[in-house]
Amino acid sequence: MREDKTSGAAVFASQAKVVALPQPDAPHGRDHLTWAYQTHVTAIYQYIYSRVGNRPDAEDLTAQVFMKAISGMRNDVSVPELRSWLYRVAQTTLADHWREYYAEGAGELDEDVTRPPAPRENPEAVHRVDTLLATLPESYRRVLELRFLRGYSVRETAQELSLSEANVKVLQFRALNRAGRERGRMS
Amino acid sequence: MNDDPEQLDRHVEDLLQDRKPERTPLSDEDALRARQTAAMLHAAKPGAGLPSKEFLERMQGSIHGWVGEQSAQPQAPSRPSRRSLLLTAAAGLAAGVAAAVGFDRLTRAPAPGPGQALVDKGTWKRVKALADLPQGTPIAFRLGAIEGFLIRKGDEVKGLSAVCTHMGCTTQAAIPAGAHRARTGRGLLGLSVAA
Repeated sequence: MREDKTSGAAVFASQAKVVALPQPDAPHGRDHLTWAYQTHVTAIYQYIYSRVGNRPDAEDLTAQVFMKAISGMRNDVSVPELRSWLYRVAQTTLADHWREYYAEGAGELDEDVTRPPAPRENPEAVHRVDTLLATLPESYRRVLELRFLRGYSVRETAQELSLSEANVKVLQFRALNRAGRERGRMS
Repeated sequence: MNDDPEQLDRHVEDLLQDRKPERTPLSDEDALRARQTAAMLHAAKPGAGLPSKEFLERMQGSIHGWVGEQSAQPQAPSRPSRRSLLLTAAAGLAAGVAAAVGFDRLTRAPAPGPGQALVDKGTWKRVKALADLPQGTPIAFRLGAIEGFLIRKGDEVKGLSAVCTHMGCTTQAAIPAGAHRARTGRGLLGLSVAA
């Protein structure tokens, strides 16, 4: 899958196969249960990654989610139950994560925690970002696109926008704060 | 601490490099939202947010182990009740920490079976009383360099470290009391627990 890095669309499309599910009422032996959990790893990882935005946190939290979910769930669970349980555990784990990092009441700040999970996370995340960027003034949108979607360094962004590096950081700061507030309004 | 462009940019750089951002106490809701938005933006970059093959392989193994131990749970608490908690940091900790953490009236040393050995040297430390742990809800704890969660199910307690090692080491952990074995991925330390 890592070879697909250059093609977002192809990658997203392939993920749907990874999380394909068996018949919900298939027998639930241990191997079946193991497999049913395993098929959800990529989807849960993507769900978490789209909220924490970095690999180490996404890996830690995904592992936590599965460990907690498996230890808290009975063995004869159906696949749809298992899936919704995993997302529920992921949501509470994320809320705890933000609360740990940023102590003050992070749980209720993150509207993502209460919204129902989308089955295919990344295309939906891309759509959310597009919608969000569209609400921003041009200069804000531009700096966020360059930094995040195109991966420009501060220096490259400064050159592109004919600004000083300090100005780029200020612009980025204002843009992220504004976008954060817009996100709050949209939720 | 008030947020500022430099501090936020360090956070952004961490995300862009796919590093775990530094823990920074934040002053207000805007600061938190800005970081959550930064995470969302970075995740939307084409190709971002895919689990590595190595991580997926580790998770396959971990899940196999966790489901196995879950299936092995007794239906009724027929064993002698356990009153102590033990926590053992997994070997291979990046920081070289090897500690065991225990609580209350420990009467015997854990005896890990084959493939379950963890830490040879360690000390037992109090963490929490079993009675303080709610069923099924992870409780965070901190003990010196070790920070993690305890999850209680019946009289069994599982431990999971919250520590990210940043070092890419793979750790293994066992839960001797229940002959539990868990393999966790990079940046996540397994903890042994005996109740």
